[in-house]
Amino acid sequence: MSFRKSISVKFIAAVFLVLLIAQTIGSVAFTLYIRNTLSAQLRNRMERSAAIMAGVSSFPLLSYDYTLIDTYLDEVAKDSEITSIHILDAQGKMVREKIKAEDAEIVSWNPFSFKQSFNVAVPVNSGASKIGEVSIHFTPASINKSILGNLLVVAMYQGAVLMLLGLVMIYLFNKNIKKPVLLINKAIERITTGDLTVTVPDPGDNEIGSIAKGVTFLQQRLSQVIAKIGDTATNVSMAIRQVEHTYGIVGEGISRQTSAVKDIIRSITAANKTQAEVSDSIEKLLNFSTENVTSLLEMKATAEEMATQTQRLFRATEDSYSVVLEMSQTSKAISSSSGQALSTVEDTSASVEEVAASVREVEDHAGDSSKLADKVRDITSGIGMMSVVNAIEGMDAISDEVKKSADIIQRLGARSVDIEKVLSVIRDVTEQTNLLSLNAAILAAQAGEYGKSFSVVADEIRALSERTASSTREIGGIVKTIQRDIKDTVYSIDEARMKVDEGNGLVVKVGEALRDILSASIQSTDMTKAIERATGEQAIGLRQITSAVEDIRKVMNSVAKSTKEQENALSYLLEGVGDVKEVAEVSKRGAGEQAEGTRIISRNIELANERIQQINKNVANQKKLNKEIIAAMENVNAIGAATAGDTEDVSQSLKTLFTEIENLRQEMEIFRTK
Amino acid sequence: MKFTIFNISDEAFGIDISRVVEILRVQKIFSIPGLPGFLSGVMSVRGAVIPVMDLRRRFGMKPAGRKERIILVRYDQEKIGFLVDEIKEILVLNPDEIRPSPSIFKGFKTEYLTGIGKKDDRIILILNIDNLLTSEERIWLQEAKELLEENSAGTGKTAE
Repeated sequence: MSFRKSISVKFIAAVFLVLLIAQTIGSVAFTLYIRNTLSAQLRNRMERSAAIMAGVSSFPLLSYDYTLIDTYLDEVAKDSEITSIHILDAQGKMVREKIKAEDAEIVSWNPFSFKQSFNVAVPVNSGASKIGEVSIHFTPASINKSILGNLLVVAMYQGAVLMLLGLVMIYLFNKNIKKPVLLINKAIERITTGDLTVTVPDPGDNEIGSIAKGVTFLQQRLSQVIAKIGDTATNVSMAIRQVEHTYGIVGEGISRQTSAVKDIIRSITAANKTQAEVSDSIEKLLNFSTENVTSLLEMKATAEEMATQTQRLFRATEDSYSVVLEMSQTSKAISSSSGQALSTVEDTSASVEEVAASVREVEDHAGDSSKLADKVRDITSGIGMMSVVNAIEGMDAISDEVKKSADIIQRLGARSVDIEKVLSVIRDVTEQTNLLSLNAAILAAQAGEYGKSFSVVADEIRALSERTASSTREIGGIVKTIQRDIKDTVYSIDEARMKVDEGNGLVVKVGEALRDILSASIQSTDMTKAIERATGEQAIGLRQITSAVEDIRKVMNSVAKSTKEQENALSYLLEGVGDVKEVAEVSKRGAGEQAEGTRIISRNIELANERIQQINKNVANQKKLNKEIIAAMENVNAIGAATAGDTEDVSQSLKTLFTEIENLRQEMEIFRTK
Repeated sequence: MKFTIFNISDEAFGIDISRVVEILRVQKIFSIPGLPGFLSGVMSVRGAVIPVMDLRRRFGMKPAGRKERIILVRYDQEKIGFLVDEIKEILVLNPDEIRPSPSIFKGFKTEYLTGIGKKDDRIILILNIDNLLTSEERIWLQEAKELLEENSAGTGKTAE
């Protein structure tokens, strides 16, 4: 800071200037005042001297005694200020004069000094007439001297005071303002260079102090803000790095996606081409297979016809063969078994006899159970149902009765409430009577002797009322008891009614059970009847069987004979038919197999045809889909490319941002904070 | 001497029959402004307005709750109704059946009693009704007749 720019210097210089001007004006005014005063005093003194001179010189002037005048002149001229004294006569002619020095112009640098000498003239009077004039010339040298001295002293004094003032002000300025300001300045300079750890001095509770506080506050705020900015910058740079990293990954992903999409498109196009080829070949295949199918159908029809023909032939041979075989077997069997049958027939005859006996027994039992079942039915349908109906009727009657008695009791309850009402009236009347009797007793007592008989009556009435009251109370108690009983009765009647209802339900259930029993017994009767009938029929059948067995035995014997003969004839026949059957079987199997094979092929070809048509349709669909996919993929690709471009841009701006933040951080590092 | 015997709670009290005017059922008691605290209110008996005092409250006893009666008593020139539980009877007590009361009997101040009557096994507290009211209350009763007439005229109308 240069000396010229210092506020304190400027301030002090200004104060000095003002003081100087003020003091100069003051000293000029003061000097002028002194000059006037001194000159006036001098002129007065000179006028007094001139007057004295005039007074004393009037007589010598008249008498022309000039020596006396000279003596006076010498005496007066002793005054150092007087330069010359002139005495003139009435005509203005010089009479006598005393000249100490010639009047000359005074040369001085002092602007306040008088440049010329002064003169005063006083007339010399004798009586009323003027006889002459005394003129005194005098010099202002002493005045000039004192003015000069005065000027010098004032200037010197003022100089000294100004010096002192200046020194004091500079001292105070240095002490109270300059030093703290310099200290604060130094702190601010250090803050400006970035050192925020500086302690701002505290010069006390004054203007500078408030500035220092402000600086401290600013410094603290600044350091907080810087710390915050530093933190934020670190965070942001970290975030940017992360985002950059992520963007790198995203970019990579996009480029990968793009290449993948391109691959997909390529493969889809290839697939499309292949599919077109497939479609073509399928078309061809389809045509071919249609032809196949028609020829196959023809073939199938022929084969089937053949098969049916062969079948018919075969069946005929087989039938005849089987008939012959059967015949042969049967005759063999008959021949072999007819012997056995004979003995068996014997056994059978005996067993049939036994069976017939047991069937008869069954018949008897069935008859008994049928009779029993009839009885049960009669009982259940007749007496049982009747008693159930009776029970239900009885229950209903009971229920009615119970209801009726409940009504009656309810009415009784209502009556008892009426009784209670009446009782309360009686109670009221009794009380009133009691009160009246008491009042009558009081009146009687107050009536003295006359009231005595009346008092007896009153007492009687009172006793009566008390008795009434007590019996009323008793009646009330009884009525209460009756009411309670009624309530109990109503309750028990309700219970009884519930019981009756329950009984009713039970009776109905019993009725239902009886009906079930009845139907069951009817069923069992029917069944026993059926058994009876069956056993009857069985017995008849058995009797027929027995006689039939007898017949069989007779026939058997003759059959045994004839079967032997037949058996021989049949064995010849069987041999011939067997050869025919073998041939027919082979041709039949061949035709059947052919027909079956043709059918399977035809079915398969038809199935293949259907499949091929489906495939064709699917291929067409897929083609369409492929086209759409390619279009979509191209879109995806375009989007991916756009995203990649965006990502590139973002990445670029992130890089810029990062460098900016790094710069900011470096700048922030200049600041040293606590 | 004859006494009107009444009950408050389980205690039997007697009042000289010559002072008793009438026995009344409880009727509507009007509380009117300006009544002193010792009165429950006023009632109208055949056109006359009569102040009512609850004797049970005065004796600090709880009402038995079953019954309630008012004994109308002559008091100097005025009448006053006493609210009690139940009027029992008119009883004749011979002088030898009445004894002076001890200084405190069953928590009652002696000044309220003229004596204690004994008949058979019963003990009857004979009330000195002149001492039931303090002198201040008696003065109020004498002076208040006009006030009561005026007020009751008003309340009578509103009651109708």
